[in-house]
Amino acid sequence: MDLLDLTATELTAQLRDGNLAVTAVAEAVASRVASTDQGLHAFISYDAQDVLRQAEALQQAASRGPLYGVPVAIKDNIDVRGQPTTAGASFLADNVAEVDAHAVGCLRTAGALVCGKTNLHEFAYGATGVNPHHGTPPNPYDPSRVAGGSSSGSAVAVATRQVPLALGTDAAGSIRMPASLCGIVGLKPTHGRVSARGLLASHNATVDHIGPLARTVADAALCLQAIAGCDPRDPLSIDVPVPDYVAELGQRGSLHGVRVGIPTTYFFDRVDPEVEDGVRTAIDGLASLGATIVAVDIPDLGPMMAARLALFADGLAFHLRYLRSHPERYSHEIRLRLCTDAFVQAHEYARASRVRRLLQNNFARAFVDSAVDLLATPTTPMPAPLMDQELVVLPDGAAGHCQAEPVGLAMLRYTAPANLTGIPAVSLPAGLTEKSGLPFGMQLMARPFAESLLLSVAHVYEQNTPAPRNRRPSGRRRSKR
Amino acid sequence: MPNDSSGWTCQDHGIDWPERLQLITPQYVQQYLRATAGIEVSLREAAELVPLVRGQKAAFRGLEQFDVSTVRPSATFDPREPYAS
Repeated sequence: MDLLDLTATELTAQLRDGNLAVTAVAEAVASRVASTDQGLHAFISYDAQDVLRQAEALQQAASRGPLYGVPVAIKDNIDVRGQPTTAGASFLADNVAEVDAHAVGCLRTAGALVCGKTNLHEFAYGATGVNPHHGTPPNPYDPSRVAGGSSSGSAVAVATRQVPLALGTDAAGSIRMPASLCGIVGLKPTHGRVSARGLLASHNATVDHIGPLARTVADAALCLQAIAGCDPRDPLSIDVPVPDYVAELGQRGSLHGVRVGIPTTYFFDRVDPEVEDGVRTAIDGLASLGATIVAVDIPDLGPMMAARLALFADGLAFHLRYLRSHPERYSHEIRLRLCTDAFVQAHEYARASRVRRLLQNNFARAFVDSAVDLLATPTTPMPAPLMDQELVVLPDGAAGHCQAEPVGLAMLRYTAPANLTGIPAVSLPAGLTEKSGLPFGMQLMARPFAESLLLSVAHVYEQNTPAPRNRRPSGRRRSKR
Repeated sequence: MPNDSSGWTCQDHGIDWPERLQLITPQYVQQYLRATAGIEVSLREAAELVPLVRGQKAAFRGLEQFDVSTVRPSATFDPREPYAS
C-alpha cells in the first residue's frame, strides 16, 4: 500500500509503532509532489530538503506528539518561518516570514512535518481558486472544473493524496467550499478557537479563520486538537478549554438525542436540484442514525448577508498602498473587487456591523428557541463550475424562476453566514452528482465552541455512509457546460 | 427587473431601483477613486465598476430595512455573546 493512501490517523499510528520512518514519509511526499504538481498547481513552494531535515530531527526527538510525522501543507497566506508568504499574489515573493504563525508552531509542537505552501485564490479573495499568477489547481474529479477556493491548493493536495492534512483559511467559506467541491472534509472552527496570529491581514479579522482540510473527520479532529487553544498574543483569541476532540469522536455510536435544524429559508434557495436532493438524502441519513430533524426559521438572512459586502472593505487597509503603487500587479478580477470595496461609506460599514449583530441574534434564537444542536445545509449551491464559467443559473423554487448570478457570489451564499456569526461549521462529503460525477458537501453548523459535537456527529455520519472519500478521484473526466 | 453583474437585484431587497444609482457613471467612479482613495483606474475599468458599485449600493439599501438604532456591537468579537442574553 502507498503510504500516502493512509489517513493522518493511520499514518501517525504506523510511525509511532516504528513500522515506518518519518524520513520515508518526507521522501514519499517529495516524490509525489515532484511527479504530480506540475499539473495540479497545488503548491506555490515546496522545500523538500527542509522537510527532510524536519523528518530527521523528529526521528531524533525524545517525544512523539499526536501528529508525529504527519505531513501538513500550509496555505500560502499563513506564515511559515523562513519561507515567503505570497498569498497567491504576484508581488509578495520577498515577504519572508521571520516566525511561524501560531497554528504552524502548534503543528510543529505536535510533531507534524510542515510541508510546503499551498496555492490559493489571489489574496484569498475569491471562491473559485482561479489564480493567474501561480496556476489554477484543477478539480480532482474533473480537470476542466475548478477546485473551489480560496483554499484551492490545500484541498487539491489533500484530495489527490499529496498530503493527508492541510491548513486552510476561511473568511466566507474558503475551507468548506473547496472541501465540498473536492469531496473531502473541511472545518471552520469557532472564531477565536484557533489563533490567527501569522495569518496575512488582508481580510477583516473578525470573519477570518484558520482550520483543517482532511480526508476524514477523525483527521480533521486530530489537526484541530493540535491547533486549538488560546493565544494571548491574538486579541481575538478566546480562552475556552479545549476538549479532547479525538477521544470524544469515539464516544457516540448513534445520533439519538441530537436535534438537527433544517433552515426553511435561504439555505435551500437557488440550489442545483441534484445537490438539494443529495443533501436532503444525507439529512435523511442523519435521521436514520437517530437524529431528530426540526424545521428552523432564521428570518431575514438574505438581505442581512449584504453586511458581508461592507465588512470585507476592511481588507482595503491592507491593500491600499499596493493598489496605489502598482495596481497592475493585481489580477483584473481582484483589482475590480478592491476598487468596489473603496465605495463602502463609513455609515454603511457601521450599519453592516450592527446588522451583523442582528444576524448573530437570529442564529442564536434559532438554536435556542428550536432547541437544536446543529443546522444542516448544503455547503455550496452547486458542484464545481467550469474553469472559465462566470455566471450560474440556478432554479429558485421560492420565486419560481431562474436567475443568473456570478459564480463567485453563488458559491459562498451558504457558507458565509457562519463567518458573520463566528459559529463552527464543517463540510463533509455527501455524495456525487449523477450527471457529472462531481462531489458536493453537506454543511453542519453548531453553537460557538461546539466543535466536539459537530465533529462527533460528522464522524458517525461518515462511518455509516458511503461517500466519495472512499473513491480516489481519477481526474480524467472532462465535461462540457 | 434591473440586474447587475454582482448578482444583486432590486427584487432581492424589496426596493425600487433608486434613481440616484444612475448617477454612478464611469466618470464618477474614476473621479471618486482618485479623490477619495488615490486609486487610478482607466475609464474602461471604471465602466466595468459601474454595475458592481450600483449592485453594492442596492444591497446596502437592503440593510436599511433593519432598525439598528439600539444595537451596540462589541468593540471586539465574541461569537458567544448572543447566546448569553
